[in-house]
Amino acid sequence: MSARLRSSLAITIAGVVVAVIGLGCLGLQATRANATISAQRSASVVADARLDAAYYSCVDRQARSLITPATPVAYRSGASLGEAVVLNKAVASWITLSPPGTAPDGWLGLRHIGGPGTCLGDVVTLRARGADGSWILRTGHGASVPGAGPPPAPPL
Amino acid sequence: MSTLAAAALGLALLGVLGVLPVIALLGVRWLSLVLSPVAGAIVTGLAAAAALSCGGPLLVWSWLLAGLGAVLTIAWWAWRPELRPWPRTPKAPGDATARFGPLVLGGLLSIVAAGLSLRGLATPTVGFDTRALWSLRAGWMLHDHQQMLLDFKVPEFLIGQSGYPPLVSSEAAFIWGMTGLHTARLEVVVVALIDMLCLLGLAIGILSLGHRATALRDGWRGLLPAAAAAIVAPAVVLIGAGITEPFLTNGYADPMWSLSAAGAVLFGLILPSTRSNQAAAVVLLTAAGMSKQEGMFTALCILGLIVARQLGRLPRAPRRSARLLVLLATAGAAVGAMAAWPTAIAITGSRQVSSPLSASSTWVHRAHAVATGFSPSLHVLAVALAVSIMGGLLLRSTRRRLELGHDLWGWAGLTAGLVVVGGVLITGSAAIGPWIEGSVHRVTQFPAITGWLIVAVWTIVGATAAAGGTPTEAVPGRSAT
Repeated sequence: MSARLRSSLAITIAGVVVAVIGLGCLGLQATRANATISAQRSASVVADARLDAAYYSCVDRQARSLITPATPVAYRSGASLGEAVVLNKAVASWITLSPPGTAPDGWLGLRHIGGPGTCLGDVVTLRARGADGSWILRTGHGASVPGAGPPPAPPL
Repeated sequence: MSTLAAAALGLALLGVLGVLPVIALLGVRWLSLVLSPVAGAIVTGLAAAAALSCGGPLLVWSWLLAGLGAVLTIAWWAWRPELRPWPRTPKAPGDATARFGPLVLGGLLSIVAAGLSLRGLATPTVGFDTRALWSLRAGWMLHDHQQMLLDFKVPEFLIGQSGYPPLVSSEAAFIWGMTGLHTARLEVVVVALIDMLCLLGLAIGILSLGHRATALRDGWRGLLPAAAAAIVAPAVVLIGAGITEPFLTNGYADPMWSLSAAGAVLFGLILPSTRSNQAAAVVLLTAAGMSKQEGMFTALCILGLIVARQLGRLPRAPRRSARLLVLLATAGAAVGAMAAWPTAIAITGSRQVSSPLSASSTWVHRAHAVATGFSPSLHVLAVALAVSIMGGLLLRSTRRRLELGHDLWGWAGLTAGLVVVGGVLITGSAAIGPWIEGSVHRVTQFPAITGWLIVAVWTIVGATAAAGGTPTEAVPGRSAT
């Protein structure tokens, strides 16, 4: 057997080995990946996702019962980080912020009061002037999600 | 309009925004079809930067920029008719039906794999950051200029991350504006579909390598690499989806930058250095750089590596200067596109993330924590390293015949991404344990996918060598660099 033929045979065998190892590893990982994808359809993941969607939809609808997208508002002073985050996630994409230095039509907030008519215990609030000029606190309505919050934490 | 219908329409409209420049750059190939919506998303990112800094609706800017791209493309074809895509379509040598058979099968299997990978969309998941950042900004991008500036500047929203690169939000804003459906769920579906197009781009790259390898040998043995590619390509789609879930189907930006950057490594550093492949790499790395901060730094590193690879392949004078100019202009355009949004954020005084450094005395401890935290997500690197060493020692000549880039280019791209995310975690000031715990699954997506691409490419090289013998036809072109 010539040296050239031996070299060619060695390359062919090495090619078979690398291809088989590669195909085996890729096939094994693809099977594991398929299982990971399937896990997104598990009952607990679906239930958590539905509850999360229901909660933020509820907060959104309660806010829309208090203001329109054109109403200049601000977050209530002293809003906690958690409160601001929920409002950011639910309504901040469509509300109109009052420009700095101007008085808003209302101060938007979120209170945890529990009970019926709330979103997992939370209710959207708006502090605004009433017809007689006095400050009144209104609460959102039109949607509710029974239970006690917060909604299940999604993966970060 | 239903979410699915709006997503399909939106994807088609993104494709319209990007199709002509993509065909001008890549030519008429399947890859152009999947990269057109990605290029369209880049256009919306540029439009968002223009809308924030100059005013004017994002939708108008998007169509204006797309129109400008189309006019420049048509003018380019009129000026240089030899660069029109249609006469340059290569013909496959030999029996076209036999040679394309495994590839068609591989393409169909990849599409099936893509469909299977997207079944997580049936769960109505909307990720935390999707609501808190990505779809939130999509709404802001549709506000009038004064309100948009307020949204991005006022402190009460408490999120410096709103200065993050725009692409995921801007493509959602564009589709919200065009369809009238403003929901976070639509953003989730559209982002998942674009991620999947990037994955299909990887599959096309693998299949094109298999097709190239068939030219090395006649007969049924010549079909072996194409048959291997037909198995590897759908496997890569499934693996990429598995690595990026649950973030693939919850609206996050991490799969977008990871898959785009991995595609840039495949087309720009691993596959043969054709004009079309290099252009695909530039489109993909621009998308990565406009999707997230770590994507931007990784994309800049990959761009530097691509430029370095091309500098080693410049022709002799007198064509050398012209090629160098094109190379630098392309790199400059990619950097310019990535820089557009950060510039708009800076000149408008919008919120940004402040990132104080940790004390350098803690970096060793933090580096150890990063290595420990990353290792469970990066087992593939051990496999890829073993296959690379075996292939590098025994199959170097076959790899050279296929005109693939040297394996070290791919590893350099992978390492660049690891260094970027590792460097941020090591030098950042947040508590390292919770930080890694909350982000490791996302920040290791790019190196994990790239590792599997290295394995996939060596598998095709191995199948090519297994087909054996002396080549009956040389693949035209130059040797690998």
